[in-house]
Amino acid sequence: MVPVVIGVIFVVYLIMYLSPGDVTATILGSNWTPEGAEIIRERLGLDRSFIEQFISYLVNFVHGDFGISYINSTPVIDQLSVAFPNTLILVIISITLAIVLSIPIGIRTAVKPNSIFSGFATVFAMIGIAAPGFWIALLLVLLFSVYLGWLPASGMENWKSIILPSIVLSLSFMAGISRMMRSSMIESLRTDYVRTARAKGVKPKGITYVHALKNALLPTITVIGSYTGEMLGGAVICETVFAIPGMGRLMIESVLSHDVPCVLAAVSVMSICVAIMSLVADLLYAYFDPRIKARYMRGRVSR
Amino acid sequence: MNENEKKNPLLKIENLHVHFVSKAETVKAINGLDLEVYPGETLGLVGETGAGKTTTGLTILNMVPKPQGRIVEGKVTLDEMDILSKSESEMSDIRGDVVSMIFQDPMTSLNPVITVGDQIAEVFRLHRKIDKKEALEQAEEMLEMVGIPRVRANEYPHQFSGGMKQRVLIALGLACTPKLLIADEPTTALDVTIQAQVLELMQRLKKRLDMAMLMITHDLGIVAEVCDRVAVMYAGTVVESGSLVDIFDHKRHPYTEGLFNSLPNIKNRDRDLIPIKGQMPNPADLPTGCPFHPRCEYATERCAQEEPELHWFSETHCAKCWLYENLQEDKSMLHSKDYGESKGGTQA
Repeated sequence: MVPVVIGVIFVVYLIMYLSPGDVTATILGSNWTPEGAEIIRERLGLDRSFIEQFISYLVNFVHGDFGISYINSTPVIDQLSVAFPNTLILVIISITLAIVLSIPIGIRTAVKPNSIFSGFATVFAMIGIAAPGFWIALLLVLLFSVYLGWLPASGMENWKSIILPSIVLSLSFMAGISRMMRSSMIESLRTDYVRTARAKGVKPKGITYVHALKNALLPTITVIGSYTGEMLGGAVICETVFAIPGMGRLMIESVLSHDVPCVLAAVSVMSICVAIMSLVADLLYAYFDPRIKARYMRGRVSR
Repeated sequence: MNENEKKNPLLKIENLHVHFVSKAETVKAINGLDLEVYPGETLGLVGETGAGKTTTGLTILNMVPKPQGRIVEGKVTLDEMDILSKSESEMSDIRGDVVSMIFQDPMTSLNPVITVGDQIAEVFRLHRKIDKKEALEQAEEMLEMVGIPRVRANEYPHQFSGGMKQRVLIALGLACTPKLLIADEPTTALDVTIQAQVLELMQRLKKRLDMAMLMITHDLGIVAEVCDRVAVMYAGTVVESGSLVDIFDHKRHPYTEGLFNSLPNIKNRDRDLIPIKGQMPNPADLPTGCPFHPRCEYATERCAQEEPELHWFSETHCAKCWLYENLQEDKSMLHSKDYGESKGGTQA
């Protein structure tokens, strides 16, 4: 996990280093003089070599020092501490919503593949996968905010303002997980061990929720882990549409204004989140699958 | 045997027809099958792949895969219960308690994410309504009975070898001492030395628990070793059935004869094996008349047109073949009409 995060920071750092545009011009604006630019370069350490710059950035990063914003000269950490909780709440609510709804939908559609519910869920999933999030966001705003006036269209004032964004964000996620759940569930319902369970007298409910579900969850957990990373990307669009002051918006704004420390910090924090998510998914997988767990254990013993 | 004859059969299958229906075709897996298993005996059900042996087993559990599989006609009576009229929930009380089934492939037949102890304990919890701890205790006893140390109860299937998994499955099948155990090629996936162990174990437990067994197999060696009676299946119907002696020494049906001719003989190693000509008929497009007639050396015009009826040679021995139709009066002719090589030496 650590090498992945360092790798990501390195790549982003390299891109920002190589990207065109002069930092001093951004900071000084109309007051730019060659001497002034030189002073700023020295103060920011830009006169040192790339490797030196990168290593000192990493060291500071580990200590929680993300540098100072080029634009408003405040520590980047201050901006992050405002934006990050907003995104975190949005993503956590969306993931929970998606998991809580899509797993039962997946199970239901697998057990009764020819029911009306199943057909409805399939159409719903198609729409969820195919329709772009921002478009659905706009439609929902039209319906719930403009016509019905039930929910706020933008901002982050109270719990109501999180409803629409999290629905939008969880929609494609939900479609993906429920399809995955459905197919892995259908597959496990066909296996020999499910037949054995039936032959020993397990009732249909026990077959579905004990014997098949435990196995069907395994591939779904992996998918949830990788989707969570995607969801952080989706949060960028969602925050922009709903004007939520979160990481996504912070990232877009700082990229547009070429605020290098801000971009770096935002991307790095996001990549750490993705890495943590996939680690959690792997651990969960090991928890559910004794075969993987055994491999971990064996590794520990041999060491 | 004779004592068993007087008893009522534990399992009686009458005129069973099972079809698998898809849009393209209707596969006729079982066509007019009659079968009886008496309490305490072992019946061997033999036949080629695709003869409908496994479907027969699944029908007894009322587990023919739906919606493609349809039981078109017939009656299955198990322990005086009409199996085919039971609901799914009534059936789940019968499965594992009155009848249980051991499947062919032990590698995939155990749930990989549940410990073997819990998988066996589940049978007790379902049918004996006891608490979890007690069930696990009994599951450990079952494991010991099949020769697996009880400490391994909390291990997962991937930690067991193939032979041990099959023993776990046997423990699972025998947990609630069913009256009938259906064993569907229980040793096919195992290597030969393990096969012998597993068979020996099954036979010992069967005797100890005093139950009947339906041994589904294509291996005549296994039949000779463990069975009391044999039913030979071809294209979804029993073509010949009788006691072990009837089938091995006085076989009547040309198909049974073909099966034995295709086996190597240790007394006559130079003899060429004689395979049965041709292929098993496509169950979606069965021939008219006797299903075996296109491959039969003795086939006549009549065999192609009319389905043969059951002929009884003795109280235990019967076959479905036209060859014997005119012989019913003159039983003394039966032996002189013995065909082919099966005649010499095999007469007891």
